[in-house]
Amino acid sequence: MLFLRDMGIRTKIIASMFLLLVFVGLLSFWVTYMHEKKSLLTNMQNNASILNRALIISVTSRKSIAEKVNLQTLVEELSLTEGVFGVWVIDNSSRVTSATFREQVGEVASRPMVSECLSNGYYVSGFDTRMGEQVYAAAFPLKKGDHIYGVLEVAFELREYLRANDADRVRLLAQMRRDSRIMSESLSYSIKNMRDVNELVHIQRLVDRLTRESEIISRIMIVDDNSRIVAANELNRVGMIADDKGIRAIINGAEVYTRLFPTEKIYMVDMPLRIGDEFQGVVSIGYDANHYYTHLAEIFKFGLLISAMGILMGIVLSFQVANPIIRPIQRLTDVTKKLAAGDLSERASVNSKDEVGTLAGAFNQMAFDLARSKAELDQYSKTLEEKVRQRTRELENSNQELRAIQNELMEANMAKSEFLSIASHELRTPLTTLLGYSELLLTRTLTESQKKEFLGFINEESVRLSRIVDDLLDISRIESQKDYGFEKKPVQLGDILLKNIRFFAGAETGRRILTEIGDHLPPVGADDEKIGQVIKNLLDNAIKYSEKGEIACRAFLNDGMVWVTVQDEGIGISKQDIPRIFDKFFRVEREETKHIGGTGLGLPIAKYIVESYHGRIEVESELLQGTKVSFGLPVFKE
Amino acid sequence: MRWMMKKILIVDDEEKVRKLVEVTLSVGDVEILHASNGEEALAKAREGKPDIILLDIMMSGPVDGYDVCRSLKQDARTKGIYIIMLTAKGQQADRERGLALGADDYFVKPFSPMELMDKIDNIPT
Repeated sequence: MLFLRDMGIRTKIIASMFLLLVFVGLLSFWVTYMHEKKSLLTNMQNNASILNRALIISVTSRKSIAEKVNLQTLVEELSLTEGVFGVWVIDNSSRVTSATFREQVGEVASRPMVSECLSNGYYVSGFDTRMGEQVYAAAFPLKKGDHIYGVLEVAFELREYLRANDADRVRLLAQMRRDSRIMSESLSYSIKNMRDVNELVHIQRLVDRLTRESEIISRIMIVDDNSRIVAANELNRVGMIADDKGIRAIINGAEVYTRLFPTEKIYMVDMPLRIGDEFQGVVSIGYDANHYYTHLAEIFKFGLLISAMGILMGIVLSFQVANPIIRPIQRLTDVTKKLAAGDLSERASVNSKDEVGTLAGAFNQMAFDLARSKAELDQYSKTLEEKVRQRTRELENSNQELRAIQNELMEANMAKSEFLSIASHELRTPLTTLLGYSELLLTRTLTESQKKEFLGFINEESVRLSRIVDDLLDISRIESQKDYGFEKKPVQLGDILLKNIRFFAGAETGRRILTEIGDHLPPVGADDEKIGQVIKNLLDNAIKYSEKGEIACRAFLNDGMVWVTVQDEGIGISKQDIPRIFDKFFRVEREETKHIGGTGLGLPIAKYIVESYHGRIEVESELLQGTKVSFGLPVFKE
Repeated sequence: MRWMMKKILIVDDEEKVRKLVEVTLSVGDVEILHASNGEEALAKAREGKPDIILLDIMMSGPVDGYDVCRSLKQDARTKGIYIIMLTAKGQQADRERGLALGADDYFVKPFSPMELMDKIDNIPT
């Protein structure tokens, strides 16, 4: 079945069914055939045994068959004597028992010489013709007591006698008479020792009649216990040794031996010939097997027909059986293919309660689970993607933030380094004065005016140092507060401006400060202390950098912002210095500013605070004409 | 050791510091020259041929102390002048930069007048 391995189950089932049915058909055919064959053969065998029994009954007298054969042999041997034409043994009913010419055995010898010898019981001789040839024949009666049971006839050739002259003829005739007499007598003695000569003839005649008259028996052979053929339908075989397998087997003790000769269409049955318990010979009967073969051929044809019908039925049946098995599997296969192609909604519609039904149920469960898992997976993957996107965005954002922070930090660090460098320079300068002059005062002998001058220096620089420290502290505080955010509450810029102006006016600077504050200014979001510091720094600068002239302060609303301007008529700022005016520690250094103390931190602090409240600070100035600093803060919103 | 009459140029934008240095060194046989910015310092150095220059670094104006030092040390006429950086820039990097430009010594503000005197005294002739 190896060739079926790659076939479908349907093909396999059909093939299996088909092969099974063919096998059963052939088996039944074979059984029928063999049975028929056996019964036919048994029939013939039975016939043979019946025939055998008939033959045994025929051979009723208990006499050795061998002797009869010996007689024939004897006759044939005598026939070989020089000058003998033929020898005949004839029974008392004129039938030839044995003869030189075998074909004559069984014939009736109706010769006058034989009749005369039988009726008279004495020796008769004379010239005669045998089979168209002139012979000298002599008939010698075979007697047992007075009973004549047969005639022995001997014929001599006359060729030499006829060629001879008269004298020789007399001599030859005398010799023939003598010879015939001697031969007849000696033979008669031999025959006398044998039993009934007639029996032999009867068997041969029986054989002849049986083969001739029977339609079914084509061959009969009777063999003595020395394998010599006693009687046969083929006369020329009588007296020969039957060297035959079957005969040998029976002589060796077998009860029956049968053989078929298909070419000759003969069925041979060999059986022992027993008289009483004595084994006498073998009867070999050949049946005409034509009928048998014809019958077998018919059975064969019939069997083939039946088998063919069986095969045909098998094919039909196979399909009938295979389809209900295959169809659910095919449906299942189709659904599986669809499932594999991605259609998870597909279900198998198999309702049978067999294994396929169970499989379909399990399959449907699997498909259901698969669909659910896939849905979950899809959902999960979608969520995951979304999460990944979100995380990536967040990471990018935080990366940007981090970069921004890093930049800020780097800038801050650089700014801090620069600031420290500048601050240290700014601190060292007054300290140099303080340290140097105080040491001179302590170690040198100085004039009073010198002492006074030096102490003045020390005092000035101390004040300067003190202011620098204050400003540094301011800027430090502001910068540290920036991180927490300045406090924001609604404040009125006008009020803060007025308060500071009053402070400066009261400080006896001797300067006029003009004030102009707009009506109903809205509040801004800021801390009044911080804004106060901005205004103070601006006023401080205005007073410091203008020896005389008016200082004008204004507060007004413009473009959503409340503005404060402080304007002086002082030394002004050169164009190249204006961009640097908000740098820490930057101070305008001109001849006019030499004696003006300052740290260069007032404007940076002011700018810092204003921008912290999302405001703007601007400077307008012209050299020697004065400076105007303005800052604006957004109107406060709840 | 008492030193010979020396000509010393003081360069600093702070008048008080110049005066401090002048008073500090005036006890010896010295001639003091003043300059309050870089340009003035270069002019006085070439013109007055001082022996020693006390040079501030951070000064207002386009020419700072480093520029002055470099210019003088590159000029054959003035490269022999002994230059002492006298500055508030006290960090190591500032000092190395000054010395790399050819400054002979470096003195950080605030300073002790006595120490400055000692330093001037100990300048090898």
